[in-house]
Amino acid sequence: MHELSIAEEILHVIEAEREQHGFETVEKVRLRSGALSGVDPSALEFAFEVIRAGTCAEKAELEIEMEPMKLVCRQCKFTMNDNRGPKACRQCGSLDVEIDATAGVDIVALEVEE
Amino acid sequence: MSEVKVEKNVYNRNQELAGQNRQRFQDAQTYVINMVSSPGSGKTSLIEQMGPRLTSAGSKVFVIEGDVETERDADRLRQLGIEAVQIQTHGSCHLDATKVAKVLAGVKLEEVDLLIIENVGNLICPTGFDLGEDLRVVVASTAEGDDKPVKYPAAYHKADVCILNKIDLLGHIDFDVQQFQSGARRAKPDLTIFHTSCRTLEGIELWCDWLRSRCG
Repeated sequence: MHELSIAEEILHVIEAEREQHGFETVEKVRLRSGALSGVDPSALEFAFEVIRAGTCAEKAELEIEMEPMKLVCRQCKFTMNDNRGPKACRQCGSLDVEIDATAGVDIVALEVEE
Repeated sequence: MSEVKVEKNVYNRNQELAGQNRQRFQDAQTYVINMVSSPGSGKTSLIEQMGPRLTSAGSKVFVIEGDVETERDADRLRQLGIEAVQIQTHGSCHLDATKVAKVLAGVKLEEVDLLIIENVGNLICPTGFDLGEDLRVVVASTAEGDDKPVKYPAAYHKADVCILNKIDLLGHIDFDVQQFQSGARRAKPDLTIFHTSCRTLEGIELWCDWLRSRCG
């Protein structure tokens, strides 16, 4: 349940942005979640709902874009869009394939009311 | 309604604090490893074996134990004469750079050559939280099954070293070492993998020698 830590950090960033830009309320938080972030969107939404009470993001909705998991062949550089399926490269057959994804969660933008 | 562009990673603040920890470790010339795994893989048992081997006249080992509740693991180590401090997270599923900095406030790092941080047993949550370590070690045990790296790729992707523990159980359980290793290397192609057993002591010396060469 590291989603709670992530939700706390989202609020922290919102407060910092509010000090800088001086908006009234946040209506939407746009997030980008790396395929290796281990974030469960519904757990993050739940955690955020719990801790946003009484803040300027009290009614903010989370919009989470989940980055797809990719595999890259280290021999021919062919990219496959699924980690669960193939063990070998679909183009050259090599078994030397590597996961290509990030573990970060980015706050992309906020939709706010001035 | 208007839009405010942010583009900030939620781990940024932890990353900054981890950077401060890292600087403190460098200044004190302390080598730091962060051990992550699922619960019950044998992290504490490994540290019980590592502690005495890596402690010598000129080299001191200190352990930070992370658990949700109890001092049990730190007590286990102290009974062997290994200096340890326990962090009880009381519900939180991972350590972060702040928790580590807090517990280190009272530690004379200048006297410590190797700091071993045993994270809370969890293959997901500790992954994104840098503690300022030099080396991330993911521990797996054969009893967990050979598909762990495929199921939890992030833990392996972020690791420098993998220890496959309870290797003495091979032959009693269905565990395909090749399958495990190919899954782990798909997540991290240059992952260094050790095989160990804390019962037969297979592989323990090799791992300790390797670690000794890293921390000088």
